Amino acid sequence: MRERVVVAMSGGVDSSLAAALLVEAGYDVVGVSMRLWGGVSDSGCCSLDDFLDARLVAEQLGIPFYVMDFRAAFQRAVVDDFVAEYRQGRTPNPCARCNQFVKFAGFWDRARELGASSIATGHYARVAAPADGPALLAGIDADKDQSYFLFGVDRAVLARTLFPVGALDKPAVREAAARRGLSVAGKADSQDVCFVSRAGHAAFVVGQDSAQPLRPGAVVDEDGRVLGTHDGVHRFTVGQRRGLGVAGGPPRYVTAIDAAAGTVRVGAATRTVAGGLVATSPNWLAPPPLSGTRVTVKIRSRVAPQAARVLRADALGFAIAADDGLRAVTPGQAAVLYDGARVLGGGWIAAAVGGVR
Amino acid sequence: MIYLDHNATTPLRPEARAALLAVLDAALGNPSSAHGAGRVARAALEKARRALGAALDVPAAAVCFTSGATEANNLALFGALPVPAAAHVIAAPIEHASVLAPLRELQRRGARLTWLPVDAAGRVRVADVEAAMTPATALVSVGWANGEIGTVQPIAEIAALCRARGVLLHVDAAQAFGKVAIEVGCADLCTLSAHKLGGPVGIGALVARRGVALRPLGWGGEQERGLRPGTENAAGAAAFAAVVTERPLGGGVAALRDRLWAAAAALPGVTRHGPEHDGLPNTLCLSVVGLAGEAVVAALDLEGVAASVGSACAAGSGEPSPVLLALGCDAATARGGVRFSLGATTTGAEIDATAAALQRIVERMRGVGASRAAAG
Repeated sequence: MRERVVVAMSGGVDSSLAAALLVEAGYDVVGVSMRLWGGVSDSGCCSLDDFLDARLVAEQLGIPFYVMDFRAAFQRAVVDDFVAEYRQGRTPNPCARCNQFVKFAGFWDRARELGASSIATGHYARVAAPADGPALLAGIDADKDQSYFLFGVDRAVLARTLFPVGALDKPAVREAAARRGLSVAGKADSQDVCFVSRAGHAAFVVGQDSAQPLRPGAVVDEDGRVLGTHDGVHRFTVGQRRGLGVAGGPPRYVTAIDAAAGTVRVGAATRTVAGGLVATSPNWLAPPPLSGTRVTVKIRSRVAPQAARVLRADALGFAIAADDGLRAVTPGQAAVLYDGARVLGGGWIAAAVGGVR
Repeated sequence: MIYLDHNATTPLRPEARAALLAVLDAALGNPSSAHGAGRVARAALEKARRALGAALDVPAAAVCFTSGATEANNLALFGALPVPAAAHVIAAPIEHASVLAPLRELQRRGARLTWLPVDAAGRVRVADVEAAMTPATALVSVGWANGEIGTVQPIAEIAALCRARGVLLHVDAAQAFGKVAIEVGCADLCTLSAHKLGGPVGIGALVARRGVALRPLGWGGEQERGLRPGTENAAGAAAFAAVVTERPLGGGVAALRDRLWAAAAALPGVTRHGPEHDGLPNTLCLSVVGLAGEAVVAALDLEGVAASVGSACAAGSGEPSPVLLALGCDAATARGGVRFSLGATTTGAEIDATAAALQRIVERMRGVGASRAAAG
């Protein structure tokens, strides 16, 4: 009997081509669109059009297709966390959270319920099988690499995961989709956080129910002098320059957010650079690296990995020191450690540590 | 494929297909046209109306053809209550969406609504209908049979009550028609659909007792006595008429349904929803504790068995079934409903294969749940 693989189909070109490649490779492919979000959003996430695109591709490929409901898990693990994090003065990473708790964990369970032995997605990443178990590698296309967002995938699930487009770059994916006549070959890439509308994340946070009202507070400089006021710490992220409500003077950036005090601290650009960071709740996709190990670290998606040294790494978290300092270390974001293309693991940034040496 | 979703739609019967094609081929005119070609089409339409009336024991003039049950339900509810602000309406909470949604819209326009209590099997009690009536009550709407769980309501008694109290009775009989014996004429307004009993999709009827004042939903022509403007679907009407004399499903279907339930009931954690014995003979709705109905239905589909999560009109929404919620199920159970609906052509071998597939699926899914619990 052919091996059954359930592919998560968003209606975009990447997952559509992934499904097509799996069909061609001889798998028994089942397409599933995950309904994650039922709220009103002009971002187009989980829209009927996306499901229809996925359905059309599945029909073209001759595979069964289902829309399945994951809204409760998404609300709990991603949306509620998103709101709570902003209210605590942190900057959440909903895509990484979604991958960790919904798109892989919940999806893998559903796939097994359907009798599958593997799952597949259209992410730009690769899975290898070295001697120490399954490994997550960056995608070939450095511009599109999504391995940063995938650090939280359980290693046992990773062992059963296929990334059919991870070995391609985006132009090749579009060309391969066009060559197969897939209707979504030219469809625009999705942008930004899928459930937040163009009104922005602050409006979203305000619109979500919460027991505690948002609290106004002060914008202060490094010496504690009050430069202005704000209506809630959810509007700020470390490294932010615009929208500080501080007129005149030299360029200032958010250097720290103290939600308990309601204070947003700002300073010169140099004050946003830290020597390293501490991260918690790690997920290791390799044995935790020993102290002193040379790694590279990514603290946001769209920057190149930076050279660093491991100070401590275990099941509770890790600390690293960067060779050249890290700009805008943002609590709530993911810090992901790499050995070359391989993801060693990652965690959630708790704090920046130390100035630049 | 084993098709056990006859409450969603049924395969076209040969006599319906023949009637459909005969009119499509022969009647090239518009039924309203004043020439020979038009008269041929009009003759086919009126012949179908007479056949329907005769089979249902109502005057042919009472039959208003519609595009199906959804349109008929809308026509009945909005057409009979032109000034909803003054009206009190009594309805069962387990109706199809094409009744519930119009009722909510009428409520928005000012109508006062009373939802009838239902018992654990979905049954309405006549005494509760009577208790809900006020001098302002204008209409009672109760479906003859529920397509999701199979409950058959005591319509004859409700009709007698409504007649005695001078209150209009609307009955959505789309799921009862063709499955159990019904007396369409006892309701003031009765909704029918052809594709639930072997006719084509796209044709249904609202049977309105003479004297019931109805307003159309749309304007633009005098067809169907002005109630349903638009060129008549003469071929669809003829195909509908071709299956209307079918006898209701017999005891053989009920025996097969009971066989499937006996096999399913032996699996751990399986609960049945709806009446055990006095419901539709072809319908079995069950849920498996801890399993999502949409997952069970998808797994059955991958095994070649076509079943449904509640009503087909709600499939893919992921919402808990409003019908199961109304029976008192919690949200998880109400998301777990899986409906099997058999047809006249269903065989014992198909039922046994379905039971075996269901067992495999439930065991596999329970294994996933157990490993998740162990890991979590």
